[in-house]
Amino acid sequence: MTLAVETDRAGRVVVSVRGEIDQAAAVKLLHKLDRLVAEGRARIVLDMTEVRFCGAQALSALVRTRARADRAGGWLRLAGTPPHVRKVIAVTDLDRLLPHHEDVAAALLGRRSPADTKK
Amino acid sequence: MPGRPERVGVLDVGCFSAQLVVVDRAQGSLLHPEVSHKVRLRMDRALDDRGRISRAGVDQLVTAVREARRLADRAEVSTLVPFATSVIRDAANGAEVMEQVSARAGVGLGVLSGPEEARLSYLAARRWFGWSAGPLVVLDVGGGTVEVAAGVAETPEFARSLPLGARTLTREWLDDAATSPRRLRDLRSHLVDRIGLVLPESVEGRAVGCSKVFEQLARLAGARPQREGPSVLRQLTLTDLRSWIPRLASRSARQRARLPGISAHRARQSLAGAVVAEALMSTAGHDVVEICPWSTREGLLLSLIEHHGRSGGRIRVA
Repeated sequence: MTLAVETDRAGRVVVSVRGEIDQAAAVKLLHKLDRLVAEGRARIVLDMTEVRFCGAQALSALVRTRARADRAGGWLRLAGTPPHVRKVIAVTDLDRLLPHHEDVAAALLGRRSPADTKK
Repeated sequence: MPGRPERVGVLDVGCFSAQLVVVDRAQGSLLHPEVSHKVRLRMDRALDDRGRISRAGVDQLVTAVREARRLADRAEVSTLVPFATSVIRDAANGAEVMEQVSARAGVGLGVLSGPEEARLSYLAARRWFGWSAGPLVVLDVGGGTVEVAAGVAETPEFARSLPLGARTLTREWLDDAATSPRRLRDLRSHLVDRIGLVLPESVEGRAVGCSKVFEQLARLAGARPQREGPSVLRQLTLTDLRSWIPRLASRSARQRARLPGISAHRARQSLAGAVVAEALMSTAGHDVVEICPWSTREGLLLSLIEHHGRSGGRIRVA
């Protein structure tokens, strides 16, 4: 897994994740996201377009970051999540906490994808 | 208490029972206690709307503690650590109840703090699984609180208690009648958020489920029954647990009590226990927990046995 972090002028962060988020990668991801929240950069979009695998530890990292960002007055939004990863999130009933956004632009605006808002 | 110096005992006064366990340090095995005596309690029914324990509840406690004291004396116990769990500790009149029990039964009940309970569960799990188990993440779902402890060493690096126990959640979130899927999802999201906030960065390692709640859920999902003894490997998978939650939710407490592993007195809070167990496992990222038959009570006995010589035989229970 590789991570690329960009911050826009409004202080919002886009973290692009590539590859497989296995156990070791999940620890690395959580550590990175925790640091961002601790630094006060708590409005985070995770670009999931290039994620090939998302295990239980990855979901754990995501819900924990979401809780921390929320407490810090920010948010964690997922963008471009591929269907097989969306399925994992839906099956584990975490789609309420981790709603789907079509792409990074929609996530930055907080505009959920239509399929999700119907719920 | 004079007695035989090698005889130590713990009296665990909880919601559904007061249990006395006496072990002999010379024999040294928790699996073969000198005395193991359980008196049934129904403290869940003794609590009124304001969270106060009724007079009848206090009478039940006094009778149970007196009997335990008599048995402990007969077993010539030199050190007895009696403690009350959250149902008494956190009752609106908890302090008053403990004073009455002390005055009438002649045994002063102590209380353990949440983090202390977490440390003792961890010690129990560490001794049960041994050093070869590597890093442990110990999850303990009680009636009043849940405890999480994690570490690689003798004492955990992380120990935390949250007021999200099965009885607490049942009272605050779930009715006795069948629960709507929406209500369940709200509760689940709330729990994942609450737990997600406090978990430490690393919760890697072997996940262990202590307490009756995990034992009963494992049995429900097909683990070997208790009558086959404590040494049988028992596990609970997240997939099985998730499949059981809607089935528990669609049944009344009475119907749940007919399922394997669910005892009648715990049936009402069994749904909340399953939901918080699932949230703990999901949030910590563990697909499976191994069941540890030992928990706080055994952790306390172990620390009594192991630290006897060094600390003069007293474990401090506030």
